Amino acid sequence: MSGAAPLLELRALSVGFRGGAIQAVDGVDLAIASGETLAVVGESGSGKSVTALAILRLFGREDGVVARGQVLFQGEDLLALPEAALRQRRGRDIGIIFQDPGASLNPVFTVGEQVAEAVRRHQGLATKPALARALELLREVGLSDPEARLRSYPHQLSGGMRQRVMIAIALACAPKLLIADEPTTALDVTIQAQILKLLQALQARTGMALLFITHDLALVAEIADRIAVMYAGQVVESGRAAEVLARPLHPYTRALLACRPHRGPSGRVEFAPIPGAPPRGRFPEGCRFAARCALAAEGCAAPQPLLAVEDRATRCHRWGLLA
Amino acid sequence: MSALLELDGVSRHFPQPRRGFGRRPVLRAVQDVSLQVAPGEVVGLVGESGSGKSTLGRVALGLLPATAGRVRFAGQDLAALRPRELRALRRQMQMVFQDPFASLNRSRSIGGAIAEVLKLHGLPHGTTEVAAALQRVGLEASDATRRPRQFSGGQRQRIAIARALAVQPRFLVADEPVSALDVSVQAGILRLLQEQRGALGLAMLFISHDLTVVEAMADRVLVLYLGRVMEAGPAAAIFAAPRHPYTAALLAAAPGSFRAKLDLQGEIPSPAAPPSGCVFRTRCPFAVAECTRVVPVLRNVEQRHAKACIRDDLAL
Repeated sequence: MSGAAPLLELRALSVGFRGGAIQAVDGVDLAIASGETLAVVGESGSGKSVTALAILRLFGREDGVVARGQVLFQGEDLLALPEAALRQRRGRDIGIIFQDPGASLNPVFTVGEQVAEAVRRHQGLATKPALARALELLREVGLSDPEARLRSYPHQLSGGMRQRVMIAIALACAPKLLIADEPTTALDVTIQAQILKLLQALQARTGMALLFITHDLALVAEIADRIAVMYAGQVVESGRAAEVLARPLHPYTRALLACRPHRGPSGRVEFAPIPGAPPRGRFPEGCRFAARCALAAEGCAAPQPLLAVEDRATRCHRWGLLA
Repeated sequence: MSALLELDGVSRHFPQPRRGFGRRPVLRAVQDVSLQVAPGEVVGLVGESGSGKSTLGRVALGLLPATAGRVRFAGQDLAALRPRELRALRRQMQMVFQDPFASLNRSRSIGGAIAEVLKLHGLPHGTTEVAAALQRVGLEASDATRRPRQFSGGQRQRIAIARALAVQPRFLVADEPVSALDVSVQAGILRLLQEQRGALGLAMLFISHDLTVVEAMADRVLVLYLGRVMEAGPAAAIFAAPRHPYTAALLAAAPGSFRAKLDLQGEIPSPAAPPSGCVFRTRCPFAVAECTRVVPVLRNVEQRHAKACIRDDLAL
């Protein structure tokens, strides 16, 4: 982070469910500047999606959610904001897209109606100009034959097209921050490549910040400026994307990289599963990855703070063995 | 080499609802595919959604009859078998699906699900056999009494594999077996399939849209597009030097690929209305006028490496 205040800053964000009985996110610090892409990487249950939802407080009432810490957006704490004021931020300043665009669109309204609705709500336009703006947005997100698509229903579109429509809706209000939660996981690789390219092009033009949530480190190499790797509710490593991928400083990051089939030094395709499973519900006092870690030693039973290493951070006291 | 599974000019068409008068339209999900799988061999099937991969997998197992062409398993023509004979053959051919949440009955214990399959095929189905099937995939004998919801996605996929392998098949169709799982969990399932392949001498049709996964698993690869084979050959050759523009584009699109980007415009057309000539031409950056007229034949470019593309002047 250079000089300028970040657009979004999470300070010691913790999120628990059932009144705090289940800890999903535990003391997360993150920051994103305008125009920057931060990828939050982790497995199911690592807390990466809960972190994203917490930024907009998108939780159902029944969850018994307890959120502590601060979510500072342009210096204002969103966690402390009343619901009405937060609704303003959602959609207008911060857009969000999810993995399954089919579930996010309303099946009984046309694509045009849904995009126009977003435009109307956030920019207060009348029906006609809203529809015209909707057409413009569909064109911007590269939907083929946008005039005809205005009258299409979601089920008439492919997964890739639906994700483009979701992006159009998220862009309707020119957000300063776009949160993308596994936006390409359900798509074919070819369409995934198109969507990533589209997000990058839109970001370059609008200068919005992008918070990209994924379980796939390989994807991160394509899109992220910086990475934060999450494990069992905590950030275990963060830094510039190229550096983290080339020289991980936490054994978990290294293990995640080794999981994905890749060409090894022998020229053969290799991959190495991580033994065991992440802890669920109750976490150990010390390093949460220790039970699965090849480098685990005595000191790992003590709580592990996030250590600064140059301009990076790792939650492993034995990082020197990796460097 | 005598093939365990042999597909000869197989097509599978689905009739579509009639619109107005005239001929009833058909969706050509699989068109003229020939393929052989040797005992113990893993053949990877790659292509985007709508390429016909899953349909081909079901035709190979006799779950869907072929509209044209012949499917032989261990020398027997599936279409010529009576239902009872087909059922007997099915013990040797099993399937694992993408979604382990949908493929397990949630109201029955996983031990019960495995015992049921054993019983169906007239095999011993006591606690010993069920325990052996679970232990094979890294689960505990004591897990037999638990229900699917008590397991994670990766564990459920292990249960689905345990059920498929319990009857000791010779051939397995794995249809996107890791696509719904986290990368870290995928690796464990892939390793399990590799180990079982070695232990049982299992032949596999491994279906995936993820090329890195196919590269790790397959001996040979078939690249499908709109129901047709675009390229077929040894996995090593296909991944090192693809000969068809579609294969090259798929490889370039894979995240983390070092290949020069070869962007594909648009999406795969509907298999109900495929383009004339080469079905890939509408998205191919190298298409020429002739591609609209001729359906390219699958021809050898090297021994056992074939492509269906008329252009030989491309540096891919």
